[in-house]
Amino acid sequence: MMRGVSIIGVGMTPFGKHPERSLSEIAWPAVKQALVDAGVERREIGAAWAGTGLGGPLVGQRVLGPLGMTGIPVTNVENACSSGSTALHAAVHAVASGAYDVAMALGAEKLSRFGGGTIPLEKDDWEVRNGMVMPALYAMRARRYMHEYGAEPRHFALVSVKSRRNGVHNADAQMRTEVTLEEVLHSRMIADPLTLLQCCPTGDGAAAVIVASTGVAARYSRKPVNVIASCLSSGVYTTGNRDMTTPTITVESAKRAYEEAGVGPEDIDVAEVHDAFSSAEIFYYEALGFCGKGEGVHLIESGATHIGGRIPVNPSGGLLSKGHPIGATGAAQVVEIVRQLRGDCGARQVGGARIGITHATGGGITGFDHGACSIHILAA
Amino acid sequence: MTEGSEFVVEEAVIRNAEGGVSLVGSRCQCCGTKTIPRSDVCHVCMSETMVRFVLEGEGRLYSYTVLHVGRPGWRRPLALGYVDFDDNVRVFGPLTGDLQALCPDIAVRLTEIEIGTDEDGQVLRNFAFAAPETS
Repeated sequence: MMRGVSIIGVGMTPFGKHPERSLSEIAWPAVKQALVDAGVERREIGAAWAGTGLGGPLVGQRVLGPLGMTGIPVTNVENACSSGSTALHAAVHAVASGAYDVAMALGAEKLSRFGGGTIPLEKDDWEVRNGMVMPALYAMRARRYMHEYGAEPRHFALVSVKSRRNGVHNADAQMRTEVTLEEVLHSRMIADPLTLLQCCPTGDGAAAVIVASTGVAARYSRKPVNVIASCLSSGVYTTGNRDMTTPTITVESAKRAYEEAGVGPEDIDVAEVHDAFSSAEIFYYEALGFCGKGEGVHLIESGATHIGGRIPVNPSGGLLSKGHPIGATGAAQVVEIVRQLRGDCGARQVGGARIGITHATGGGITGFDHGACSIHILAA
Repeated sequence: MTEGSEFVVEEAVIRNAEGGVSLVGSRCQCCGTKTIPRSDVCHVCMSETMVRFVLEGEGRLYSYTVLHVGRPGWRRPLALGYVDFDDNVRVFGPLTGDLQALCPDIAVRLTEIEIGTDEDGQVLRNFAFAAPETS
């Protein structure tokens, strides 16, 4: 990056079901909270990027208008589950380039307007026409992984148990009660081997992140957090065979992110990863280099990814506890890591966390492992 | 295709000489890449010399799931999977036959099923991959 970029403020609207509120009403409180957190005047925001997966046109204007923040360049971003973190990627690079000293990224989503069920996918897509839904895709990956590496359903279920335990301590999470291994395994089957409690709940929510050049960051924030890597990838298209036990888009993005940051997986103190389904978290342990290929089940079993373990993953409770308002998720992961690096997380605080990573990936379309993946590495 | 019911992916399914179904895709005359579904341009070499190729017979089940949610009007539970054919062709689609026999790497063959009904109650058919019969 051309010049250093720091995060000076974060905010989020607790994830949950807010059917009575418009998307704008869901999201503006997150923006205002981030402004207050940063100690920045709204007129100092030079530009904004707004991510939403399914929130419709001009989401940035709809959210920022009622706060009197429009007039500045606003760019609306759609990148499926990575929309919010893609917005951040754009804001970070705009500040790094010198175009703006202070910029904002936000993510917002209202899935309750679709009723229940699996998230809507592109109807023209070949695989979607043939019956694809997201739980089926993740379940097929899990099934192949079981076949090749000897994993059992209970290994995946342990991820839900861990995440829900962490979510108890997060006021922004949708699910705030613990679940037992038996409850997870015996909940309703959704897509074999994944049961209901291994699928993230959908929901509504928003998150906002304010970035500034590192040179001016100290003017605003008592504890700026430095962005030491901001990577985005669109994955590789193939109509042929692929190894579905390896999330290639994450492996490649992580490689680039570690290189950009000048750190390795062994330097990461805390991680927020895209656990849309329990099995995915196991895959991402491996893809992010927290353990070797096929060793993810041992990592969850050993407790290494619990708070207090060697590499705590999803102390926020992850998507499995927080819920997954698609466009907000990537930005909300950054909110959590910033709070962790500031030491503001109370009962779910990862002790001594200095470097954290966020990872948002998704998008179910034919020919791709995932459509998008965005990784940020942050340092206190 | 056949009267009284329609295939979900109408443009990709043909009836073969034996009365079964085959899938239609594209083959690149420049580099040989085969794709299902069809495409007018080759994603490997970007050539537009794609010609029709017909996929039939047996493939190998790469992975599968039995889905208990999904589209209104469609079968529940519905087994779905990825099937690998020769020449680096992978196809996603529904599975039929004995679901207890499903296991990665088994051979499956192309067939057809009634997959459900549309909003008007019209029967929908689709290609499918059949797991071997256990007796």
